[in-house]
Amino acid sequence: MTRLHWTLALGAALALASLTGHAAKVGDPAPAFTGTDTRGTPHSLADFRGKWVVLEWHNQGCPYVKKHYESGNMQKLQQEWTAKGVVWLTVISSAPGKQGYVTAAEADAYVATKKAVPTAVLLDPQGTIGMAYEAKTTPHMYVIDPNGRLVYAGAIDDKPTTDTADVAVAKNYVSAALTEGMAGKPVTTPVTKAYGCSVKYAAGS
Amino acid sequence: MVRQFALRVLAVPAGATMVLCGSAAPATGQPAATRDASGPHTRVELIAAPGPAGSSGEITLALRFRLDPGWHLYWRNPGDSGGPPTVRWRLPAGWTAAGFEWPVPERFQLGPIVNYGHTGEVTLPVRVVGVPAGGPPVTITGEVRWLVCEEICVPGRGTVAIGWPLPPGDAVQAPAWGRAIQEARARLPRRWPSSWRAQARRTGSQLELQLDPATPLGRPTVFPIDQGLVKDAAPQAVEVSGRTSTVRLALGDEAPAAIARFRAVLAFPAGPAYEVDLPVTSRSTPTPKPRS
Repeated sequence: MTRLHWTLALGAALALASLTGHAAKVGDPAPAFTGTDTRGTPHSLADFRGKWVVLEWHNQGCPYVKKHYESGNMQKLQQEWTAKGVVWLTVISSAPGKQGYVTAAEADAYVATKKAVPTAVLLDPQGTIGMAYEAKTTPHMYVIDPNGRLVYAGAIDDKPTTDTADVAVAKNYVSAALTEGMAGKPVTTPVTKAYGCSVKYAAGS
Repeated sequence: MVRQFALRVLAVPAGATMVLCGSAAPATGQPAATRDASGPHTRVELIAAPGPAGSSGEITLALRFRLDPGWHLYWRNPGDSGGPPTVRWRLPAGWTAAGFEWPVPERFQLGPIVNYGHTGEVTLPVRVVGVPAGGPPVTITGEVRWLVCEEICVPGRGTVAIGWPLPPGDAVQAPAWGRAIQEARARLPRRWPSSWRAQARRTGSQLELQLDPATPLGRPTVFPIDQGLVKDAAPQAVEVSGRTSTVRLALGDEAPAAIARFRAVLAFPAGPAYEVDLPVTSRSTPTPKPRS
């Protein structure tokens, strides 16, 4: 099943690459998607042409995600970068019945309680957006430039732990990518190994 | 085995701890740590191989994890998600603890995610050097952090401590601990013999391993030691011909442009596992026999 899914997701890219090819390759156009947010509003990546976009994979039950929300780190990043015009999309790819799966109301309640300020929370219970980006962990972070090109994919920072104390001493890769990218510089660290909990896709996906 | 001892709690000689560990000792008023700690779905215990340090000044400790069925702990390279257990030791001045000696992991596939980890009972030996023979009694303390996952993940943390030399109450169990540590070490990956050929070659987006042991070992499973070098979820293409096997691994998206060496544990259907540390060439021409 896994192989089949990947094959479908990879599409034409498979022709060139071996079966280990990658759908969301840094430097290439970011995979197109349309997702629905908690208010029922659809968002397509194409709508954000001309803006920087951050994708944040989320599961509120995951201890690695808790690290970044309980320390206030994620909210701070959302605040800082949306204030600079960045579109911040929190994506939830947990399948129904799996950890992190939430209704729209539950997602909104979490955002309110945590004082999170993403531009929108996209509900992706089928895992379609997650599969297109091969999102593996929560958090798994992506940065897309105003031309729709993927410029960063990977970990939120360089401290792969669940310890909130590590946030203060971590190098944040998302901020680094946005800072460099918005200054017209190439991103020094464009790909890292994401860390966190596995994304809770539907069984067999 | 030694399961019956799991719940036994040792009263550490707190007075001695305070004096001899100096600044490393717990603050006054804190309860002395016990040998075990527990967290969700996990118990962890600090054990030690018996015997005096002797002239080598070396002793062996081990963290022994016991996990509920269905739950796993992570290997040194956790794969696509999760993270390995860590310990911060508080030791007397002059003592030094090495890292964990990692057993051969299992490979878990959950949807598009592959992890390397351990289930059931997991013993991680640790070598400690600089231990004086016949020194005064001290307490060794470890702050342990770990993550266990089933499908969901839960972090755990705890402090474990043991007296050294082993106090009389522990000395009774020490032979069983010694056996457990010995058994754990017997199952560790062995060093790939230098007389056996092994090569690692980078070809485009793949890493090709050629293994030529002196006797046929069967179809290897490769566990990369360094995270992110190879794509964990990609199938490992293995061809076996007589003694020789060729394994093609897909390089990870985050693999660096230049890979100098490839370290891995190779598990075979029968017999021991081996650890290799190979220089990586990028040409297809034959290379001299590598140091391994």
